[in-house]
Amino acid sequence: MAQEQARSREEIRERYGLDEETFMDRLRENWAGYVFIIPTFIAFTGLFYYPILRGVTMTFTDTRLGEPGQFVGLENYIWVVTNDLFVYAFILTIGFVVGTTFLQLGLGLLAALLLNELRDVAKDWIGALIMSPYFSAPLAGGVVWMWFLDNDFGFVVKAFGIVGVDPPSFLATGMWPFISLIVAQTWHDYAYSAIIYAAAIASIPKEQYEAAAQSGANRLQRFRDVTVPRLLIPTIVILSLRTAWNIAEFSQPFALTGGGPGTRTMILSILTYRVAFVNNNFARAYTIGMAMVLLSMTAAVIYVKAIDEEENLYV
Amino acid sequence: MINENKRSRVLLYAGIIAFALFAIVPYYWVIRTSILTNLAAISQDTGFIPAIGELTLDAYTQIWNRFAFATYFRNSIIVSVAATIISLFFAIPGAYAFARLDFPGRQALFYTAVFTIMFPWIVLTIPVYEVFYFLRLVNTLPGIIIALSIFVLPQNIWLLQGFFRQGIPENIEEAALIDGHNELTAFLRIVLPLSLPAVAAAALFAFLTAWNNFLWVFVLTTDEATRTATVAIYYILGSDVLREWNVLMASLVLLVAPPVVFYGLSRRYVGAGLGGSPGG
Repeated sequence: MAQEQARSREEIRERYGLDEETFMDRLRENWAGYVFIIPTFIAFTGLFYYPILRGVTMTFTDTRLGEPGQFVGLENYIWVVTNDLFVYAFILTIGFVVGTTFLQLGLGLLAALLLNELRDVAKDWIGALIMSPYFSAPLAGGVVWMWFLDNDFGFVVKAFGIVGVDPPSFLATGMWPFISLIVAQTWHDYAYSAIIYAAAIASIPKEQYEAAAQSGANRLQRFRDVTVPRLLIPTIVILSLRTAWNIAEFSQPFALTGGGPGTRTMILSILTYRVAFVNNNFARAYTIGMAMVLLSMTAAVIYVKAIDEEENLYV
Repeated sequence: MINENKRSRVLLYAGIIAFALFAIVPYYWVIRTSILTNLAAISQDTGFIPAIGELTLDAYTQIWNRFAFATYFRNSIIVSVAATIISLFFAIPGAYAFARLDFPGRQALFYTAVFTIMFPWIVLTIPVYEVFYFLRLVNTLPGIIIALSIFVLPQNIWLLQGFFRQGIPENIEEAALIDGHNELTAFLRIVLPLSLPAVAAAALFAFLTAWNNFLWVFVLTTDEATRTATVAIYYILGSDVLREWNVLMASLVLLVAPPVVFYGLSRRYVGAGLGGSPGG
């Protein structure tokens, strides 16, 4: 598969451009490419490249909303790293991201493996059912879980009541709000890795399993020798994309705990929001955001390295 | 599959049921509350499956007088449709260029496009808000439309370039070029008509992603007149001091159900591995 694609890319190169002799041909070819790419380039420049650069320059000033601000050097960065709440939010975010990403990866893989055993029609409908959390608005997911875990009328509290155990207050007591955030986030997005894994598993030729079975491999050995090698690249892709998206996640935690109680579940995205749009301190908020950017860009570099192998994009 | 026995079947179904419950029960809890009577909704004695006498659709009739639902839905439809069309206009040629054309700078642009999809959008709202504030786009529908258009653009490009790469045989363009088309006319007359199903799928996903988006609309609006359905949920929950949970949950059902049902129904037509959206 990968080899075939690589070869066909060579053919594209041969046909278009690289091996052609005349200068005019090459010019004409590039002209077509640029015509196609220009709308995208303009959109990215206006609403992506420019704002990012503007944001980075902002971190060296004391910009607030509606005020251009003065150059203050590294003051914002010093403020950020010496701020207890930022350090707390940074560590909490890493915990949140690691927890959710691995849970999503594991549950997604399990869901994909189970669904793969079902027959086609059942697979379709049960698949849609199991994936359904992924399709709700993230904000709605937060509200759904807020109600699910509600201290007075929630399902979980009621279920604990049956056994006669007095449950902790899931959105208030100790570490529970943080754990609730991770569980709710896992619920919302595990279907993403299930979808990617399901596609990868479906693309494995049946003959390979049959051949392995004939040579005496049992179920576990077949899984290890045939399935697992095909899941390596998808795993890297899921890990890096989900890491970046879990870092960026704002809506669901915002609806579920809003960083509270107090500041106990203050992850970086909510902190950035609060500093920017509640305190109106844009420069400091973007400085906090730089920490998020740093984390997600690390994931992005890994992603790019992974897809480089097989020009196949999963989004 | 092969060598299946009874025990592994039982394990399989147990696993499937566990997943289905995990996915569905939180939804069920919201729906259950939304069809309870006022009294049953705030009683801790109401069962997991409520008695018939405790059920009513009152909450669903009440919410229409209580909240400006018509405005929310109208705004949601306007901004989602507009954002879908605008982003497709940008994404179709862009995706084709990434998938099939080669030109100096393609690789660099492609990698920055990968970064856009992984970038934490909450950070991006800050400078974008500043620009929109300067251009007086804050609290306007055009402002939301522009913001949502870029929000769904990377996703559209990814979906479509995957299709162009794998769904359109290369010899079709080859034949068109031999027939005397250039890249532009070959694309418009031959590739684009063949791609309509993929474009329709991308449009559906873009529409739903825009509909589900909370962050941009929340940050860019404060007026009720420009509020979309998703953002309205947040304000409705914060607004009701009476805590009539059945009414609140009924509005949640009404605002959440459309995208979930559409996604669920369209999933298998679009194919696996599609339909992601960056966090936010």
